[in-house]
Parts: sequence; structure tokens; C-alpha cells
Amino acid sequence: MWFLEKWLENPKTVKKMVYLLYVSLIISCLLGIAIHFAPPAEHVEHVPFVFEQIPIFSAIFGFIICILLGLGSKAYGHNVVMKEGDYYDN
Amino acid sequence: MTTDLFVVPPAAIFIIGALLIPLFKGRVRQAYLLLIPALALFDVYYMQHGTYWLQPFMEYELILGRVDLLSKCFGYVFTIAALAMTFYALRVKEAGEHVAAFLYIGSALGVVFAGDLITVFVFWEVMAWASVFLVWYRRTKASIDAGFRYLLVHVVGGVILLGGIILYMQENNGSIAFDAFNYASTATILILLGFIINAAVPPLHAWLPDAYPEATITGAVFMTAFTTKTAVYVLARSFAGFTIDGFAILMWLGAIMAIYGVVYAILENNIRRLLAYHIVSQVGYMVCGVGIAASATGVISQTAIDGTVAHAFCHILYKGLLFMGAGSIIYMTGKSKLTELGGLYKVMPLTMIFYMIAAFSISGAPLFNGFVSKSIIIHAAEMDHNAIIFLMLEGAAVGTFLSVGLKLPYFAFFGKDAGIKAKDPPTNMLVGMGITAFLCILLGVYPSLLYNILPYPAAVADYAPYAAGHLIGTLQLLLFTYAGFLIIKKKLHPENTISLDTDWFYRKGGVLFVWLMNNPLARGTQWTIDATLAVKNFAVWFSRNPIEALGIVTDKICLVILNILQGRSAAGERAKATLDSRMSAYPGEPVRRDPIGVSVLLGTLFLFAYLVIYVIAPHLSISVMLGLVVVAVIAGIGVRTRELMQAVG
Repeated sequence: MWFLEKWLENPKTVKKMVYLLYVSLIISCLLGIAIHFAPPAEHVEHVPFVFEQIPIFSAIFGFIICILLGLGSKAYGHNVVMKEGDYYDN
Repeated sequence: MTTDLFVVPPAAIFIIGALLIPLFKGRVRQAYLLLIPALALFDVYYMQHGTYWLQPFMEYELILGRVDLLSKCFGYVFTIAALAMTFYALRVKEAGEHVAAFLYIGSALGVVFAGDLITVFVFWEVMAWASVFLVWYRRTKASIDAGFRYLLVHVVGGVILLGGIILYMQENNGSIAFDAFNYASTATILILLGFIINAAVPPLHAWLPDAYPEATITGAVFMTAFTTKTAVYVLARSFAGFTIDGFAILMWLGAIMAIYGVVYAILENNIRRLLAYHIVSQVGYMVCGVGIAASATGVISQTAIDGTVAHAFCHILYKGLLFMGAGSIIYMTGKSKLTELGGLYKVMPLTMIFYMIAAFSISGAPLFNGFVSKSIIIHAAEMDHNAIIFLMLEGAAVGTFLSVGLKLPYFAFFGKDAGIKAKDPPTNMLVGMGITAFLCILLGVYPSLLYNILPYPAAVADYAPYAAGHLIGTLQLLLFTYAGFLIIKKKLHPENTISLDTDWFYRKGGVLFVWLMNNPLARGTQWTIDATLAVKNFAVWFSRNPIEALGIVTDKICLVILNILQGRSAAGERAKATLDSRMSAYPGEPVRRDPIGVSVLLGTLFLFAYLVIYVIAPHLSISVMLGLVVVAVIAGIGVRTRELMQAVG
């Protein structure tokens, strides 16, 4: 698939994709805020937890947990469980 | 019901079908292989609800066909997955591997439609024994070792299950009914343990990430679908109301499991082991769903079970597809480590697309099937007002997208080009992936297809996964996970290591056990043998000439004492020389040729001594007598030592 390759290897495309990500991050937050303050008529979802009253809770939660899980797991791995590949052969 | 005439146990189609596989060759075999799962799928479709195929066995009645919504739903997904996976495995030459796979699928279907505990147990064991061959057919040392460990764990699990079943029969007047176990006792807890070993609940999960990555390319694909999901089925069937003193243990185990798998997946370098840890994580959602059902009642409980079954259904499809994608990479490149891969999208674009469909499905992205099934379980936690479980499951979803949706594709398909020459796998493998990918999207777009066949359709009738709030929330979660990934991407770089898990205890424990056997225990045994032989040899030597032997032994002791008292001396040297000559002459002439008078004298002395002892002994305690003997021996040795010392003069 040479066209995909040509397209993806172009630094301009990569830059555009990063912008696309920023834009979608912002849009998703705006939509979240919109639905929080002006819920659509058929929107009957109940909100059982206090933290769900924060307008963009999912975004904040996703970001923090991603960083925590990524770094926390690596720290756990490096300090406790990660060994060389031939660990069990010795 | 005319259809009843044509319907047979789906397990039988696979098991009998498996035995005939070696009779066919080439294209005919391929057609035959596809015919079996297709037949089974129609068979499941035409099965009416009820209880069938009762089989008398000793004084029990085995039920091979309990058909209701729950078992039928699993029946559908098992046969559909079997069909797609058989497409994927069509080019495997080895007939035995196909036989093992079909026996494995057949016994999994046997468990699903079993109505009694004995049938469950028998199929449970067949499942373990059939599937281990899917590992062994890889024919590498690593796979043979991993297969043995896999088998050991499952055999132990089977024995625990059998113990639980026997105790349960004792508690319930010989009942073998396989229904809800809603009370905690030794019997039900043992049965639960047997089940959760197969569900890979930590710390009993290590067999899964140990064995699956070592299985054959196609064998691993089959294994992802059946072992853990039959365990989910039996848990949903019989432990959906199980608590220990009101504590819904499965809910917490499941939520911990979901996070545990995610953490290990982040550390993993082997692509199939990374995905295997995500089986642990995803089955965690299902185990948690069963636990939520146990902690709640009514519609919440029913929603949780629906979520569990729906997620098992979707999981079988996307996890099968993930393993097909990873299998294709290994099959076409011969590499399985992220550190050795990179830039594969250029040479394997179709594999990349199919893999990404599965990755979006497991991550719960909208329009893919994980989105419509995982959310039911999380929704049930919400209805149950359990904030901690809710957050744990959402957090695991973040970790899932991070590893499967971002890290693995980034380092395997994109990232630094490893310059690997490869191409997309053969057509049959692409067809298998295509069918599964199609189903992943179909169920994501039309969730009602799935919701209508769930055990409690009414409970999810009003559930709308695409409600605006849920949709936007999910998009935020995934997009911001992506943003987080870009920030910490460098830190997440794969490393060529392995991560120790709970199998460390039996792998290192096994080595320790063998060392204990080979060293202290074997040496101890050898010492006992040596000591016994030494005693025997001494007795033989002594009996050749007891009197002379006694003299030699006494002199030896005296010589030692002499050396201690005097150090090296002329007397000692001479006494030693005499002793050596006596020893080399031993046994010499064992019979003493003394005049008869000497014998009479000795006899008289002996009788006299006997008389003295006879008179005195009753007045002495045993310790005093022993003391006297010791004194006599010491005195004798003393006298003899003195004799030797004086002999120098």
C-alpha cells in the first residue's frame, strides 16, 4: 500500500494529524460541557456519583489514569518483576 | 417439534467430527473442517429450550442438553468463533492439531450445555487435555515446558473441582444438579476455586500468559475463546448469587483482575503475551459482572449477568481477531517481540486494519462491539451505586486502550521501521480475520442483534449505549488516553525483558524441589545405605574370629588412648606394628587349641560370674548395671593400655 506509506511518511501529514487530535480533544470537551449544562430532551441518564457532576470528568480521569498506569506499571516492573529473558533458564 | 429429530448435542458434532478428520486429505479435508462448525451453528440455532439427551450413568442421570437463553447464547458465539477460527487454521497440515482443536471446542460446548456436575467435570477435563496439544504442536522446548505447566495447573484445578462436586453431593443427598450455588460451604468454595482457575483469576492466572504465547499460531487463537469463557459461563450459571457472609467476592476479584492484567500488559514485550494479559483483564470485567449480580438483586443483577454474557460474546470475537493479527505477524515475520518489530503497516496493511478493528473493539470505542458490551457491566456497577468498582473498570479501560490500541500497534505497525520483509498472510487467514472483524463492527453498530439473545432481554431493553452522555464520555476517555500516551511514549518503550508473575512460585519452587530431592534427600538416603553396609561388613569381619576381633578392637582403642596420653612414642610404634601384623594375619586360626583344663576353668569362672550376677542383679537398677558394665569396660581398656605402655620396657 504505497499510497498509505507515502501519505503517512510525509511530515506534513503527521503535523496535520497532531492538530486533528488537538481539535478533537477540544471538541469532545466542548460537547461534554454542552451536554452537562443543556442536556437534550431524551437525555434521561441518572448521575449516581458525585464525581460525574464534574463537566469533563471522563477526560480528566482518562488522562490522569493513563499517565499513572503507564509510569506506575513501569516503576513496578523496573523495581520488582522485570528480569532478563533467560531468567528461568539459569 | 419436528426439528428435534435433527438436533443432536453440538458437542457430539465436534467430537465425532474430530475423530474423522484424519480420513480426509487436501481440499476435501478443508471443506470437511468448515462443514463441522457450520453444522454445529445450525444445530444450536434449531435447538428448542428444554432439557434433552438424558443419559443414565450408575445411579445418576446425566443431562447433556440443558438449553436456555444463557447456554444458547454461549452456544452461538462458540460455534460462530469456531467457524471463523477454522477458516484461519485451514492451512494447518497436521491432522492431529485439527483433531485437538475440535475436541477442545466440542468439550467446551459440552460444558455449556451440561445440566449436571458430572458432565461438567468430564468435559472440563477433556478440555484441558485437548487444549494442551495445541501448545505442544508448536514443538519447541519452550512450548513443551509451558504445556506441562499448563497441564499441571489444570489437572490440579480439575481435582479441586471434583473434590468440591463430591462434597456437594454428600451435602445435598447425592444431588448432581448444576444450578445456582447460593451459599458458601467447603463444597461450593472448592467448586468455585476449580472454576476460577480456568477463569484465570489472580493469583491463579499465571498458566494463561505462560502457555498461550507458546501455543501454535492457530492453536492460540482457539485457546483464547474457550477455556476462560466456559469458566465465565459456569460462573454466570451457578455463582451469580454467591456471597461469603454477604461479601460479593467475585466482584472485587474481577475488578482487581481487570487492573492486574493491564499493568502486566504494559510491561510486556512479547506481542501474544501482552494480549494474553488482556484476556486476564477482560475476563476480569466478566467475573466482576457475576460478582455485581451477586451483590445486587432484581433488574441490577439481571443487567450485570446480561453484561457479562454480552461481553463474553464480544470478547471471543475481538480477542480471537487480536490473536489472529498477532499470529499473522509471527507467522509472516518469525518475530514476536515488540523490540524486533516496527513499520509493518507498509508490508502487512490488511493485517494492520483487522488488528486495529479488534483493538478499537477491546478498547470500547464507539461503533465497535466492546463499546456495547463492556458498558453494560459498568452501567450495572453504576446502578449498584458502587463508585470504586466503577472507577476500577473505567481505569482498566484506559489501560486497555493504552496497551492494545496504542502501544502495540505503535511499536509493531508504525514507529521505527525495522525493515522487515513480509507480506499479508494467506487468503484463508485473511478470510478468518475478515469474518471476525465484520462481526465486531456489526454488533457495535447493531447492538440489538446481541441484546435480543441475552439471558434477560428485558433488563437491557431500555439500555442505550449510544446515549449522548455515554458516547461523549467514552470519546473523552479514549482521546485523552491518546494524549497521555503521546506524552509518556518514550517511557513506554518496550524492553527485552520478561516479567515475573505468580508462576514464579511453581517454576522456582519446582527447581528448589528437584534440588532438595537431588541433594539433601538423595545424600541422606545414600548415607543410610552406606552406614547399613558398614555395620554389615563389620559384623561379617567380626564373626570370622570373634575373640581375635575383640582383641584387635580393644587394642585399637587402647592405641588411640596411648597416643593421646604420650604422643608419638616408641611403645606406641611397636604396639602399632604388632597390631598391624595381627590385623593382616586376621582371621588367622579361629579355633583355639587349649588344654581341656583351660576350658573347664573358663566354664567355672563363667558360672561363678553368672551366680554373682543372679544374686546381685535383682537389687540393682538397670542404670547401675549399665554403669557397672561401663566401668568394667573402661577398667579393661585401662589395664590393656597400661600393658602396652609397659611393653616398651
